[in-house]
Amino acid sequence: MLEKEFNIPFQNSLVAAGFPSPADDFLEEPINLNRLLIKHPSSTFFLRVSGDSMVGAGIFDKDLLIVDRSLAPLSGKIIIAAIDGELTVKRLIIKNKQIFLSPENPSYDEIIIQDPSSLHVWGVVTTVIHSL
Amino acid sequence: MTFYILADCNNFYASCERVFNPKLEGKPIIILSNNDGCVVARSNESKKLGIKMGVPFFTIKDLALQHEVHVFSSNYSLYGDLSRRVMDLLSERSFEIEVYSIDEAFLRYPLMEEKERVDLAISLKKSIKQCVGIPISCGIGPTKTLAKLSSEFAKKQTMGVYDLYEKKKIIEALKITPIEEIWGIGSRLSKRLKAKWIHTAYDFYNSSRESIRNLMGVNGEKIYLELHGTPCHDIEEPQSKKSIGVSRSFGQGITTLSSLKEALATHIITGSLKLRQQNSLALCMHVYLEFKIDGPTFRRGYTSLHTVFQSPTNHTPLMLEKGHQLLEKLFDQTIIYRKCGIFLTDLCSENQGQADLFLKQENSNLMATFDAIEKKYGKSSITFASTLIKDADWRIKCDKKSTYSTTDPSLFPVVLAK
Repeated sequence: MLEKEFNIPFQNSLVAAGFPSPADDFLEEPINLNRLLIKHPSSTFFLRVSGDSMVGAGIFDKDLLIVDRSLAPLSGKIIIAAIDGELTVKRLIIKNKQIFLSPENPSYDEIIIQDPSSLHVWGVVTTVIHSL
Repeated sequence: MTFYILADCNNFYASCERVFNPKLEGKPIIILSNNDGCVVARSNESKKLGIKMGVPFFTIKDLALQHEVHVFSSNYSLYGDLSRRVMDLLSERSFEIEVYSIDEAFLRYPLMEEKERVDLAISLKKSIKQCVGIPISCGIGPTKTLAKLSSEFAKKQTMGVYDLYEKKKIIEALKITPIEEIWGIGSRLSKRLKAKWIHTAYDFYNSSRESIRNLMGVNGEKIYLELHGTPCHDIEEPQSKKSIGVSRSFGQGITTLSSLKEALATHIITGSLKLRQQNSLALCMHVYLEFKIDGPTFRRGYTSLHTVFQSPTNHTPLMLEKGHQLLEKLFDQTIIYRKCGIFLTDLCSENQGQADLFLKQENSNLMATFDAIEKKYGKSSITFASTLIKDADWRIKCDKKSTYSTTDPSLFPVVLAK
């Protein structure tokens, strides 16, 4: 991640066309998106989504994922795992000591992890950035 | 009282290529220099196939095809970024750190029991592997020289950690280490020592301090003391900067490209000089311009581009050429510029740069020899290896440069939602 901070002045009043508000002179503390979204810069990576198996979780094709590799993979979290040698995004479910990697799209099947030691969690997804 | 850990990334470039490509685990990988395709890095599997460092690719082409070796051109922006992350994490987890090269760092800690030292090293290793995906080895020792030796043993351990602290263990290790493999003793110095019957590191250790001092001077004596457990080399304060910035504001504001180019040239000349002064090479150069945005309040506009050099450099003509290209892309003739500057980032030591033996621009000796041969024997008598690689079939089998980037949003690695 390039470390140049680009602070965006935050306009705290409604953006109305027409007369500027006298309060505009008193801008809020600039928001730093890096600080807001990236807690552990050294272990945080950006990945680009290819495919639609996670649309139920609000993750769509071509979205950007912010992935923190230092976070613990807990049940219910959206994680990145290596499946057949490819980085893949799934929801991790641990139920009754069974581990599942679940899609969020009825067109796809969940994967049962038979041998827990074979599951390599690459990282935990913290944020999805979806451009409109 | 303190101890040192040398943290060393295993097969760093090859490991970087595996971070986003888990299917490359356990597979033979080689990295080629961008200029002319010589091997600059190998995974362990490639080493086992007998592929040597620095060989032109065409000499091992058949071997590579036969064993399905994965071939990459160097992706320095990726390596630089992953290196920075490793070093930042190690820095958080140590009392003092000295980044020695793109893939090695000395860490210093207050003295601990053996079990604590080893547990610490193991936890460092696990942490870096999980957070960045790079496997490291940790050599533990009472001095930097012993820690460096220890890391060679660490690479051969399953756990990737070796504690070289106990005197008996140190002596055993020194007995099986040739003298030229001790940090600070190269092939030239070792010839002098071998003439005095010092062949192994243990022979050196066993000599008297005065005889070493007479033979090698103060520096040799420091190595001697370090092997005996007395630290002489401290953790070096980063007087070598991790990035170099040069900039200047313009009093009047500048609107012409030629004036900007002049200003940029002086910054690049200054920057490359600073690099050479600290024996560094830069992988990346950012060129930026600042301008004033018209409006009631003072706001600054900022525009920048960066370039990643094919190989780390401090070669002024190359940097000037690239810098001016970037400037031409940035320039807008309707804007009044207030400031121009450069950042040189992803620095590594000049020693690291030497791995790329056949750099066209940098190695002036090579170029001089090349020119002399051409002159004597004619133009077709000698050429760079890359021009010989004409056949298409190896290109089909070989991966080129890993096309993703950790710093360019248009090139982020892809994750499958399937």
